[in-house]
Formats: sequence, C-alpha cells, structure tokens
Amino acid sequence: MRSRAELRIPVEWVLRAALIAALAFALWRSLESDESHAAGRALDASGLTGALSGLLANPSVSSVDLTLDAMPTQVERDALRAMRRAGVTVNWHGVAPALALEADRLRDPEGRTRLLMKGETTPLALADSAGVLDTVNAASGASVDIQSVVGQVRAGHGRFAASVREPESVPLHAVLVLGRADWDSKFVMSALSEAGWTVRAKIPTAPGVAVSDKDLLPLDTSRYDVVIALDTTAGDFAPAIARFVAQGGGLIAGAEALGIQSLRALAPSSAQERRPGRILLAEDSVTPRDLPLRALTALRGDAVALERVPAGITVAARRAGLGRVITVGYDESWRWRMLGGSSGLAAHRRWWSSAVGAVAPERGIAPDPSGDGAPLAALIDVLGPASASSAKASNAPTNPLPIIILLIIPGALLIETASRRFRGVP
Amino acid sequence: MTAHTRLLQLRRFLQAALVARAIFVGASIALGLFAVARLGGAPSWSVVVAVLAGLAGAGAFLRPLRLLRSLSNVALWVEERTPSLRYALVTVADGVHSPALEAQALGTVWWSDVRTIVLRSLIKPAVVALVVAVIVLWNPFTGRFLLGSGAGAISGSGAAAQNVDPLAVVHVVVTPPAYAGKQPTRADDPTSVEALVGSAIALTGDGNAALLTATADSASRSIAPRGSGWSLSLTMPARPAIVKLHSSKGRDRLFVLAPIADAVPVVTLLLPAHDTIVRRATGRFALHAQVRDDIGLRDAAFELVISSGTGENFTFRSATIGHLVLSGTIESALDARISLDSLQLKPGDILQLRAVARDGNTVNGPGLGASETRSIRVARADEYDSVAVDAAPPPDTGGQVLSQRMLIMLTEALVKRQRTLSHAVLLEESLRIASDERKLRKRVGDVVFQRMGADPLSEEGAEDLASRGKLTPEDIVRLADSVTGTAGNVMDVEGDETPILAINKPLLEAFNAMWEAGRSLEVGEPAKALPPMRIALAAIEKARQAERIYLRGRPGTEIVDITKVRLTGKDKGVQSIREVRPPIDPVARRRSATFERVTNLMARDPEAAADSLLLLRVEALTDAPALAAALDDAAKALRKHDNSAIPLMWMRVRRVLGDPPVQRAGIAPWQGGLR
Amino acid sequence: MTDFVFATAQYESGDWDSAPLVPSNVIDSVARYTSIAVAPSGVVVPLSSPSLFRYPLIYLTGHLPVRFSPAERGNLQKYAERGGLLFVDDHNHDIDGVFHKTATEELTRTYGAIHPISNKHPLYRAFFVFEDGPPTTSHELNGWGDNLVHKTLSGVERNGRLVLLYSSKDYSSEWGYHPENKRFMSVDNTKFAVNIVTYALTR
Repeated sequence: MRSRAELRIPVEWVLRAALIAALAFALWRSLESDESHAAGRALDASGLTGALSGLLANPSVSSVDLTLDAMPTQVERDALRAMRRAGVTVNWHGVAPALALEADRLRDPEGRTRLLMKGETTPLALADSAGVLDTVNAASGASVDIQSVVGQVRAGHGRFAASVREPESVPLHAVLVLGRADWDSKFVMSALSEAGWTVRAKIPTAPGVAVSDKDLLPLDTSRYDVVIALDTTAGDFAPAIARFVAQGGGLIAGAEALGIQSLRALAPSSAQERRPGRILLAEDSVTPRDLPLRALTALRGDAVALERVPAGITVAARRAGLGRVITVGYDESWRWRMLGGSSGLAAHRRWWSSAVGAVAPERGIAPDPSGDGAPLAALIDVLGPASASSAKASNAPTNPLPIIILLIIPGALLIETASRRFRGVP
Repeated sequence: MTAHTRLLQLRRFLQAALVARAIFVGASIALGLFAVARLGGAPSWSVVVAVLAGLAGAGAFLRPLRLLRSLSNVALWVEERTPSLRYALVTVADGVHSPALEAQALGTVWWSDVRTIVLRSLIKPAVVALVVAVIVLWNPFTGRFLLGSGAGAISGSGAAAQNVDPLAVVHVVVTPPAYAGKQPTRADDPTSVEALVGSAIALTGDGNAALLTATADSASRSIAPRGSGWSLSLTMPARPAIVKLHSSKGRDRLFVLAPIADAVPVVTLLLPAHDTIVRRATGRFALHAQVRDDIGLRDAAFELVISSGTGENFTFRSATIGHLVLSGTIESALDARISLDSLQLKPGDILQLRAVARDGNTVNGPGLGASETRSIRVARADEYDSVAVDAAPPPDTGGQVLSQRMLIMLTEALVKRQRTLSHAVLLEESLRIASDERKLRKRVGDVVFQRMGADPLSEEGAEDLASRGKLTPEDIVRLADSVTGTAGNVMDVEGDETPILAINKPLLEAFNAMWEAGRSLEVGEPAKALPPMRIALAAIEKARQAERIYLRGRPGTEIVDITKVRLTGKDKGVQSIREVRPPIDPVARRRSATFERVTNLMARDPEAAADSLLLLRVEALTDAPALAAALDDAAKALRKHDNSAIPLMWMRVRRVLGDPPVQRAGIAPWQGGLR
Repeated sequence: MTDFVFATAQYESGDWDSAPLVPSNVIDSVARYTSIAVAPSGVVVPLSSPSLFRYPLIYLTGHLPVRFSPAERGNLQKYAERGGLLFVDDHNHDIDGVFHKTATEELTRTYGAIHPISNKHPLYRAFFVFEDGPPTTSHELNGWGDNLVHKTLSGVERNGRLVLLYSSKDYSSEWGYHPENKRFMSVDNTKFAVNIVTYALTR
C-alpha cells in the first residue's frame, strides 16, 4: 500500500502542471490586448482615435461611454455610429460648446473666401492648414472675408473646433454695363475690369452711334452673371433684362434707370429726387456718404436695405424670379474713386465688385459634406443628446478568469512546496 | 660584436620603434577626429584641429625617447626581461669592460627576444591606425572613398573630392563697385545676396567643380575650379535675378540676387526761396542749395533757362553756373551768385533756375538729381503785380494797384504822422489809401468770383462786388446766380461740391478783412484799419501758400451754347467696337495663388517650397519690398526647418500679400452692406 | 449724372494758359457731334490742387519750360493711378524746343517711359475714324517749329488704357480759334478732340 507521502507525489505533479499552465495562460493573456476582453468601456473623446481600433475589433464590447473633453472628428463619429448600429450602446456626456463654421467662396474674381461662424465660447481662433488666420469674437455670429485659405479651415477654442474644407472656386461670367458716356459708366467699367470681371458694355455716344463690345447679345445667364443699368440708356435692353433676371441673372439698377418701366417693376424700391453731395473742404476725401444721392424709398415687402446713410437708404435688394436685383441710390460714384483719398480707388473697386458678386447667380457650389462645420450638431445627429447619467461604466474587467489565474499560481506553488517539505524533500 | 655594441643597436631600434608607435597613434587620432568632424558637417578648419590633435598625441608617445638617452636605461629594460644576465649588461652599459663580464652579458641571446617584444608592441597601434585609415578613406558599401580632397589635409585625392557635396556650404563674397568705396562682405549659405548694382559676387564652395552647373536667370554660367573647390563669379544685375546651382548629385541651391539701386542725389534749392517778379533786371542775388547722395556725389551746379518772347515767338537760352566737383562727398552745399545784369534780361523774360547734382555711379549712372525750379520774371513796363509778389504774368489790364503789404506800410506811416496832420489832411490821405484798398479788394473779389467758374466780373460787377459789405459763402453763391443766371448749372459741373469753401476761404477772409479796413480808412481812422489789413495780408499769404493763386487776368471763358450747337455737325461718328479687355490679373492675386501652391508643397518638400518662395521673392523685389523681405524670412525659416518660426513667417507673408481679414459682426445672408 | 467738363491744367512753371480758345472749341465739337452731356465752359485746375481729381481728363499745354513741383508730380501720379488721362500738347510744335524737352523729362519722371502710340490704337476709332493716326496740323504742314510732320502721338498706358497722351503736333494752335469760325472751314479740324474725349469717357 502506498504511503501518504507517495500519494502526494502525483498531486504535486498535478500542481506543477497547473502552475505551468496558469503561467502559460497568463503569458498568453499578457500578449493579448487587455481591451479586447472588455465588455464595456469608458473613454475620453481626446483618446478616441487611439482606442477605436481596439473597440471595433472586439466584438465583446457591449457599451461605450464617451466623456466629451474634445470634439470627435467625422471619422470618430462615423465609427461610433457604426458601433451603435452594430448593437453597442454608445452614450456621451460632457459640456461641449456649440460651434458652427461655414466657408463660402465669394462670387468675386479675387476668389476671396467668406467664413461665417458662431460659437458659444469666444474668442475663436481661426486657422487653416498654413497657420493662424485671425481671432474672432463670434458669440453672436461673425463673418470674416479673407484673401485666401489653404486646406482645412478651423475655428475653435481649445480642443473644441469646427472645421471645413477650403471652398471650391466659382465659375464667373461676364458683366454687362449699360450707361451713357460719362465718368460714372467709365469708372464702373474700370472698377470691375480691375477687380477681374469680364466687362462688356454699350455706351451710346450719339444717336445711332455707340461704343460697344462685339457679340453683346444674347443676354442670358450662360454668358452673363450681372447686368448693370446705370441710366435710361438701358431702355433698349429692358425686355431682355427682365428675362435675364427671371432666369437667375443679377441686375444692378442705378436710381436713374428706374425711369424705365420694366426695370422699375423688378426693383426693390423707388428713388427720391437727387440730393447734392456734401460740400467738401480741400483736404477732405470723398466717401459714399458724401456723394450725391437719390435715396431709395418705398421698399417692397420682400426687399431688404443693404446700406444706409443718414439721408436714407442707399442700396436695397430683392429677389425677382430666380435672380436678384439691387438698386443703388448713389449718384456719381466715380467721385469716390477719384476724390476718395488714398483708399478711395480700392474701396470703390471692391464696392462695385462686391455689389456684382451679391447679385451674381450661385452656380452649384457643393456644400462640404463632412459635417465638421457644426460638430456638436453632427454628434447629436449621430449619437443623440448627451446622456443624463454621468456614471462611468466600470473599467474593471468583469471576466473572473484573470482573478482565478491569479489565485491558482501562488496557491499551486504554495501547496506544492509545502507538500514536498512535508515529505522531507527539499 | 660586444655587448656594448649590441646595446647601442638596441637603443637605435627602440628609438625607431617609439617613433613608429607615435606615428601610428598620431595618425589614428588625426584620422579619427577628421572623420568625426566631416561627418558632423564641421567647417574646413576642423582639419587643422585634427592634425594638431594627432601631433599632440604623437608627441605624447614620444616622451619615452628621453629615457633612451641613457644606455643604462636600455640595459635595465633588457635586464628586466632577461633576469639571467644578472646585471652584467647594466655594468657594461656603465662602461666597465672585462672578458668575464662580456661573456656573461653575451651568454644569453637577449637581443633577438627584445626585438621581438618591441615589434609585437607595434602591432596594436599599427592595426588601429590601419583600421581608422580604412574607415576614413574607404567606404566598403559603395566601394568609394568616403571623404574627399575637400579636407585637403588628408590626401588631395581626386577620388575623394568626388564625394564632397559641393553645395554643402556655399560662401559668398560681395565686392561693391569701386565708386562706392566700401569693403567686401562675406556670408555663408545666404538665401539671397543684396548688393549695389555692379557689385562683384563670388560664390565658392568645396568639392569638384565638374559636378556643378550654374544658371543666372536661365542663362548658364561657367563654374571654375578653385583649389580643391569651385567658384562662380557674377556681377549684380540691375534687376533681381535668381542664381541656380545644380550638382550632379541631384541637389539644387537657389540664391536671389537682390540689387540695391543707387539713389539719385537729393537736391534742395534753398535760395531763392520763392518765385519772384522783378521790376528791373539788375543786381545780384545768391543761390544756395543742399545736395546729398546715398553713396557719393560727383558734381553739382545751377542750371539756368531764360525764356524770352510772347505769343508764338519764344527764344530760349540756357547756362550752367557754380559748378562744383565733389569727389565722392555724401553731402555738400552749393553756392553761387548771379548777376541779372550779366544775363541781359528784358521785360517779360523769365529766368528759371534749378540746382542739379550727379552722383559718382559709374556702373549704371550717373544718377541725376534736380531741385525744384524757381522762376524770376522781369515785369513789363505796363504791368504791376497787385497783391502778391509771387506771381505769374500780371493781368493785361491791371491798373496801378498797390499790394496789401504796401498799403499797410502807407497806413502805418500815416498813423505815425497822424498827430501832426489836420483832420482834413488825415482824411484825405486816409481816403486815398481806402481807394487803393478798394481796388485791391476788387482784385481779390475777382479771384474769389472767378474761382466759381464764372466769367470775370465786368467793371460794374466788380465795383458792385467791391462795394458790398462782408460776404458769406452763401452771399457769393447768390451773387453768382444773379450775375450768370445759370450759376446753378455752372455749379453742377463741379458736382455740387461748392469750391468756394474748398479753395477760396482764406481769400474770402481777406476780402472781408479789407472791407473792415476800408471802412475805417474811409472815416479817417487809419489806426483802426491796420489790424484788419494785417489779417487780410496774412489771409492772402495763406491762400497763396495753400494754392498758388496768380492774381492776374484770366483768359476770357467762352460759354458755348450747347443747345444751339448740339448735333449740328455734318459728320457722323462711327460705331466703335470696344476692344475686349481681358480681365486684369492683379499681380497680388497671382502671387497669392503661387503662395497657396507653395503652402501645399511645404509639407511634402520644404526645400522645393523654399526655392519657390525665393523665386516669388525675385519678382516681388521690384515692386513689393515688404513682401520680398517677408518671403526671404519665410524661406530662411524653411531651410533651417525652424518649425516654431515657420507659422509666424507664413502669417506675415499672408498679411503682406493680401488684405488682412475683414471681420463683420453677424451672419446675415446679405451681410447688411456690400463693403 | 455728370456733365463732362473740359479742364485745362494750371502748372506753376510756364504759360499754362497759352491756348485759351481750345476749351470752348473742344466743348463745341463734343456738343456738335455727340450726345455726351458737356458743360458749356471749361475750367482751369491747378495740378497741385485736390480739385484735379474732379476732372478725369485734363489738357496741358504751353511754350515755356515745364517743371512740376513735388505736389504737382504727386498729384499726377495719383491721377494716373485712379484712371485720369492727361493730354499734353506742345504749343511750340518743336521737339528741339524747351517745352518738349522739359515736359517729356518731367512726364517721364512722373509716369515712366513714354512710348509712341500705334496708329491702330482705339483712340483713332473712338468716334471718328483716323486711318492714318493723328490728324496733321497746319503748323506741321507749314514747316513751323521743328519742321516735322509727327506720324504718331506718344503716351503711357496702364492696365490697357492711356493715362498720358503726348502730342508734338501743336493742336493747341490748330484748335485755338473761336468755335463760331468753324462755319468757314470745309473740314472741321477739331474732330480728333472728340475722339480724345470719347476715348476718355468710354475706355
């Protein structure tokens, strides 16, 4: 009959085997990602990118609780959306500021970009791929016109930012200027040409005689963006202008051109009698408010006043058909260019270019589909509103196997050693 | 062979071995340091340091030579290794000679053993030196020598030179043109070279000249070998240019040649200070001018042009006086005196004079600077300039109207004599001055009135104007209305910007002050007339300084009866085709587009981006110096990979390149305004 | 609406008012041939005055040396930049004369290099057609002045349009008569002035 001591020998071998097996298992576990076995995960948004691959590869993750310490990117949002559709419960909580950013290419040959933004936290730092652009107080919304942006434009505060792609360039067509041979016609043409617009014109100089471009007609939106009717010499074109505006073309009508019945029907307002400009001292520079003015009056219900001076409305706009119409009350705007001091030339040029851009048709600019322009809204769209509970899911593994292993190893070692010692084997 | 002889041979052998070991050690140190220095991109003088270190190391290993001066030391060294000699050799070395001693010293064959020991001790240094030499001179991976002749100190081997990057460091020496008298300047690896036009520019570097090609503004330039390196000689052109160095290893380096133009001299004519009309062309007066140049002046002089004649018949004479040779002076004064008698001026002649100066520019000069021109006119006998002495031709119908200054002098004289005169005499003299004051006021009124674009006043009208009291601008407009009946239209051509206030406000002030003075004079109170007369004089001076008003007769203004002649011409115009004017591509926009491309390139290839910035800089140098400076800084930051500076430099370039961002509150779709 | 106003430049040096009848004659012609709204009389504008900028076309003539003051030069540079056209006519009709020498020196200093204008330039087709370029003046044909018939005018262009038009043909003499006298002429020699005005107003 075998003694107790002899009986313990196989038991000791079993314990040794268990010990080796446990160690081997622990080693194997250590080589595996500890996350892959998590059933629920609590994450900070700032670390989301690093954690996503593990989360997506592990089918055992059943819930994700996201603390919003930074704004998730579009890719991260899409991943969370995919997890949610795959049955993972995704909650988020935290205080994220509402931010919105939009980048539009102005309809302007200079190709300037207009950034529209609004953000609860201010000031917003504005930057693009090439570096810092500006700092903007946008609590109640702001727009920034900028010469050019490169790559991704970002408006943000700390880790929370909205970003949009650099807008695509806009195709522009010609501008038709109709006016009599005077300085206003000449300098409107000059301003637009210098700003980069392709200008065509018809300027009557005598009965039956005009200075005009070749191939002036047809007047349609495939050739022209905008018609500028400065005075009653546009009368011959009035029916064509009405059709052009109905098609979506833009019209800028000088106050004097409102004497043409069909243009008056399109215009956002009528014009008062001409008021002389301000009397200037020798050293004064002319600004628009110093120009002779035919103040705009009787605005239609759908019209909006774009510019005012103390004497009244100077520029008004409305939509007519598919097009837009602006009426300009300023008279002799050329004086702004010639007598406007050091800034008059550029200001006059930009004003007319902006006016043309304001009524030029929008030609299919695809919006940025990324949704990063309004990241909080996009997040809510993907994940719903923030979770009311801020309880974090336990980060401790719910699987008891590691604890069992942890108990087996010292236990087996202790018992095996004790058994041997009791047998008198060192 | 005696033991002593053998000892002497051994000593020589030991000395040779020590020297050899020192050479091995020194060479190892020098070659090792040289290799480390070149691989670390150290400058060429590091070769000298390496050689000195090698020499120092070798010197340290030569110190035991001192011990070999004593033969006993040699013998002891042998005894130490051959104990069986039992000091026989030391005793021999000490000069003791005996057969027994000799036999004992030669009893053991020690000389071959010690030679072997010595030779073995040389193996390690020799191997180390060999290994270092192989590492330094030969690259086993390419099979080529690793370090080239650029070091010069190693071997000067042509094969080594092949391996030096000739564009690793480019040195630039700029020698200004001789006329500038300035010292040459040096720079290493600049992005651009700024120098006077005509400066000699020498670009040098290490490496094989045959590996390099150079172009300056697309024209190829020859690279000359220079010692162990290369050199390229250029002359600073008048317009910015780009120099491109291309190595056959595929590397390019761009340098901007940014010429500094030699400014023309600045000449300021100080005397005479004003244009003048003289009654008679006699007397002498001084001419004085200041001349200044940025580099150096060659000479200066006064130029005179005398115009004679009227109508269609004019003759001209010219002359130069006061010529002054300045020989490179930066600043100088120019003085002369001119005698009107010697010029034989006749009434109606105009003498125009100015100071001119030439700089010493022998490259693309000389630069010629000129001062303002002063006119000195000889009045005709039948004219008298009424109000101001600074005037153009006097009015054709001008009467003998005294100037305001003269009237003040007469009034002051009258005030002085006032106590000695009876009231009747005082009143008579005062009325005479008042009459002149009224005439003068009429002339001023003419000017005020004419400025509004109307005809000159008729005599009646002028008298009427002159006889009126104080006039406000509104009074004058009303008066204009009443005279022309069409003043409203006339004003309209001025675009509703009434020029009265803009132009004639000081003269209006003078006009009103003269009225005050006239009233006092007419009641025989000349003292009271003086303050307004002085106000009038000051106002006239002010008006004259603000705008040169010539109180002379204006050509009669013809009023065309537009309605009558409208479209009565026999000839008809033709349809005029307005030539298509392509949209102007503003330079700034093109530069912005280029800069955007550079920005996109920056992450992928910073070297190429830096080169593109330099190309853009060349263009900007001619018309946008601020942009050129910003681009240069940006290119430098890129080349240095200075990641902290690059964003700042980029922002600076963008701010210079385009208008700064324009912020507006609100995001309304129509933006509440177009500007 | 702005009537066209013919402006004569007044400069500090020289006899700027040497052709007093030219303005009314040009105004007459503009009214006679075109429907351009034109002011019945011209104005005189100092080159150094801010008023210069009220008149985007300005006429400068004279016999005597022309030396612009810094204010005059600065104003003219701004004038060109803003789109004004300066028409300069040498009343001496003499390229060896002092007006031509000094005026071209000053104008080059102010505007940059002056170049001949092609006789195909739109200026010669702006209203009337002048196939051979600038019309010849009687002073040229009579051999006065430099005894040359100048085939072209000169000028400076910016952004595709003239900012300086320089004539050695002495239109100041050619057009220097009372407009009423046009009725005695078989061919109106001021028609080219209409082209200059029309060009300035429409280009």
